[in-house]
Amino acid sequence: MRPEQDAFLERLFRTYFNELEIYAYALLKNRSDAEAAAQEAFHIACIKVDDIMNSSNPAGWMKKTVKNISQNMRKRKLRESSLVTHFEDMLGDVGMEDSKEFELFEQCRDILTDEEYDLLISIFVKGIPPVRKAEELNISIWAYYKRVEKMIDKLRRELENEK
Amino acid sequence: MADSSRRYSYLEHLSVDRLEELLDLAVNTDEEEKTEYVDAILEVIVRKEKESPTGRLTDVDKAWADFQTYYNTEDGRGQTLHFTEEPKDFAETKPAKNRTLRKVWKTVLLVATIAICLLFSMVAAQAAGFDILGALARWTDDVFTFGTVQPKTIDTPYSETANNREEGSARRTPSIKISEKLPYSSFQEALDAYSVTEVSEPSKLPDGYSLDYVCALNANDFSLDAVYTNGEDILSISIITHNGNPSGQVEKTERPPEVFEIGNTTFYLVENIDNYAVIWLTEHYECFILSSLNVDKNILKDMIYSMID
Repeated sequence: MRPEQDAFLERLFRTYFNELEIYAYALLKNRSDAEAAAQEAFHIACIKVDDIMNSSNPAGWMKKTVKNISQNMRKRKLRESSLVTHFEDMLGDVGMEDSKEFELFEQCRDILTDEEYDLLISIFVKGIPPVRKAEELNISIWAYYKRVEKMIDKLRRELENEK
Repeated sequence: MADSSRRYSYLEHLSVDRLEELLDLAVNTDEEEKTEYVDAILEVIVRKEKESPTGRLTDVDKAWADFQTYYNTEDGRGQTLHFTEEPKDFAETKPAKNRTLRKVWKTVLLVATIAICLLFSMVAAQAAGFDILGALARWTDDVFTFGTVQPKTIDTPYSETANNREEGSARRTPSIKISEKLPYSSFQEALDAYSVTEVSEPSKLPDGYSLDYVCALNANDFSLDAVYTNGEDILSISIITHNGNPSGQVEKTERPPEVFEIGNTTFYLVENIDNYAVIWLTEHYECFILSSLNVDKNILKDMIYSMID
């Protein structure tokens, strides 16, 4: 990007980031998802920097982008909900050693590598925000999501085979 | 932004929790989002949070650093995670502050047994300011208002409501917009909760009346209503933000309003076919008391005195 585009986006970010995360929270009801939606909207602004710089209402442009992203985040969560439910049910279940969920958990441990299993726990048990996990792994958010997709695909495939 | 600030100045009086509730209602609706209203809520939430942080906001420096480190990276060039379609060309989306004289009709707190014909037209504020002492009461043989007298033939919530249209009847029954009932056991609790200090709950009520419920309506403007009943008739108190542009209109008989003053406030008691209305203005609110004609006018005035004392 050109220096004036960089400067424009940074100014936009510093001016509107907080309003956009509050807006996203109203749509998503989750603070870390809301922050992620606002971050992603600025990534889209980078991709379409000419569009937004030519817009007469950049704040409105950003808000519509956040809404678009938030709606798709909700859909994605819904798609994954069946898997999420399994693991959220286990959260806080002290006696899970005897439960069917524990068996499922053990199955996952057998299917996944240690790194993948750690990722699984960070998402569904610890609820670590993606950007913080990316920070811990010292990778970009894009690499993080690739690993998540890969891990979930593997899990679904293997669990389906074992049915 | 100045017009917008005035129009939604009442938001400043609300807690951040309440503002988030309003935002929730505003964005999760099938109706078209009211851009100016949503922007005003966001602006107030962020300002309040910066003044007294409760953890709702991410530190912008940290967020910017995260963005540069984890999102704005080489492997993310051109990629999207959850974005699926091009936003429309916002060049055509005019900021809402340019809106002029768009009328939004709202009916508040209306009770069929009284058939009060109270109509509010909400007009985008264009005034440079609002001088409450300079606000003029206006009335014709038919209506009273602090704003502009609206012709009775204008399309109102009354005129085309099929299930209560009365052919040949001079009096029309209004449609009812349901507002949110609030879990308060007194009007004062609700006033306190919404940080309304310009109006108090009356300490005196006409004999036999007690509070039935309190409700609020959050649309472009905010209203808070208390409904009292004696089992037969209903008496209501309504306060509505005027944002410098009072526009409530009360139907009346040909008899001129009875004017009385308490302190610096002028009250107008208006008589209609089957109800009394007392109307006054405070700095931020248009206030209305509506009662059955069975309530003695002097008792109604005593009640108002008890709100001021």
